[in-house]
Amino acid sequence: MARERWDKRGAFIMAAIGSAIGLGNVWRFPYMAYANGGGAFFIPYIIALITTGVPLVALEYYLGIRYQKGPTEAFGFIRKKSNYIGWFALGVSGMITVYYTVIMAWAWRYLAASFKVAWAGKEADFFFGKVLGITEGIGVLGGMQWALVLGNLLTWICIFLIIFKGVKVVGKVVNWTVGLPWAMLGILIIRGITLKGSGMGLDFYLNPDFSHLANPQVWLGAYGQIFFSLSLGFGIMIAYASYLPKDSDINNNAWVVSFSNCATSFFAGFAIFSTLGYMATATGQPIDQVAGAGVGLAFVTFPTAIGLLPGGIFFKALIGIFFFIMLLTLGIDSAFSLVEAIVTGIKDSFSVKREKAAFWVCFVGFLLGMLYCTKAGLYWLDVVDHWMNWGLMLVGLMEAILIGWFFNIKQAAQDIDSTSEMKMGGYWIACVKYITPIILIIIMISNVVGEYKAPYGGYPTWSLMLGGWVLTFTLFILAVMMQNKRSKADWKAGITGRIIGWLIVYAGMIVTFRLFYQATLSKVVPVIVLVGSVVVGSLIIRAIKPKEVTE
Amino acid sequence: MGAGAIIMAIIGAIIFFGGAFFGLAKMKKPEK
Repeated sequence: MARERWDKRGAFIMAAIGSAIGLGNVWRFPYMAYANGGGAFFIPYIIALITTGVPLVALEYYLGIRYQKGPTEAFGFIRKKSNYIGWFALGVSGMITVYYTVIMAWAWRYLAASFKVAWAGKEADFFFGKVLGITEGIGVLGGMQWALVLGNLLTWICIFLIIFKGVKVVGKVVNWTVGLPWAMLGILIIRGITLKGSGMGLDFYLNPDFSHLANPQVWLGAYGQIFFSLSLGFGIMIAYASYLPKDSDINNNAWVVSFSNCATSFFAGFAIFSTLGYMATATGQPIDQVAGAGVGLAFVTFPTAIGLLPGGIFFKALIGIFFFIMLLTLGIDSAFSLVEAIVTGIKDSFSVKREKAAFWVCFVGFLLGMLYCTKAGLYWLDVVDHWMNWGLMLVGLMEAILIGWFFNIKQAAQDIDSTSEMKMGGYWIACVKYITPIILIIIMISNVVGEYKAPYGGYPTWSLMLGGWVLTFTLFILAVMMQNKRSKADWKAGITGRIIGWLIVYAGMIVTFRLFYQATLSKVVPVIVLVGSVVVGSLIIRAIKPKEVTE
Repeated sequence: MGAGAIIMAIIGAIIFFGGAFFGLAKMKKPEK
């Protein structure tokens, strides 16, 4: 059967831009700039964009376009037994989608509350109490927040309706989901910069302090921001590009999508910091008391600023509605692109119909999201999000190493340039083969060291184990088990050895991570346990595995 | 708003938006 196609090149570009532009552009980039030297942060950010962002986006487009398959199959063409990278990418995507849709459920809840500015004067209580019903700790689930379940259901229904017919419908929807948030941002900027104190806010966002450039953490932050912002490591770009014809322009598409994404982040900073400047002026607080990022910015700080706006309730409500419509439209195209990557992967590997794959992915995703709709949902979201970011970097690292070191990268560079108006040649090779792996390894090691020094967020060890290490490695083990399994016979062959071997590896990993948090213990012990369990487990799998199994 | 912020706003706009439009302008191939 002929592969589906985008209606036109513009539809693909809009869909890729829509996927890349998400909540992080609004709630992360402006704060990153503010905290890391203001306008001076643009320097490492642009360098990261050109040396890692554009080349990695081009790499993912290349995989999709060249092999005309989603992430679960494309890696196998590069090197046999590498499809697990695609499965792992989809596992991480799936975990992220499940809580991303719940964040959108919060936005639905706030959109409904915007008509009366229901949070005014009690912003923190409204969010943590009324919306989340937050419990005293991660171990106390506290029951369901049914309004969030409803919002989550609504989000998943939207996702299903958009993707189940294929990329032609996606190509039409993205005109709205990319256009609307831009229009909303434009309105918020006009409102923001006409407020008293907005200039002061923008000074904090843009005024350059070049002394920050001497700090390596600022550079790592810029590379991390570029990596997460461009939807890299999810398998989305591979899936989307697989619906383009083989002679599509790779470099130009990568360039336009990457720069459009960064332009949106830059643009969003004006809306956020002009309003925060007004808020600081109106309340007499210093800007560092009001500036923030993430969930707190979107659901506490910005609603507070809306409540302080001059004018009657009508105008406050209007700005609130615009802001939350912006969040919803920013989020929905990122969410359905994540689901599309999973559906494409399943469809390509198991030859199932798109409608069926889409239904089951959405249904299971909705059910898994129930955890985040409990009153401890925010805690779990925070823990899982922390580790899934680590998983994404691992995917990015593996794909760069796979192409850079286990494939004829010169041939890949020639292939890419042969259909592209802009040529990257040796520059692309250097970025993929050296710069990206080095930067990602440094960031990942720095994260692990940070985790060792201070366990994330002060959460109890068992929750970090369960929502972090164990979940991430479960996804990885499942990914290895999934590759090249296309029939029941594939699954049955060597099943005993696989189960015993993987259980040993798994037990070793759990013990390793448990030991990791025991500060008094020598770090050699967990490393020996980990290496030992992997070696023993692998030997057992190999010993019992019949020859015809291709895992 | 200070001069430094205004200059960075202009530079940022030129690079980010300019980069995106430069890419669009280089699209010579007909849309597929």
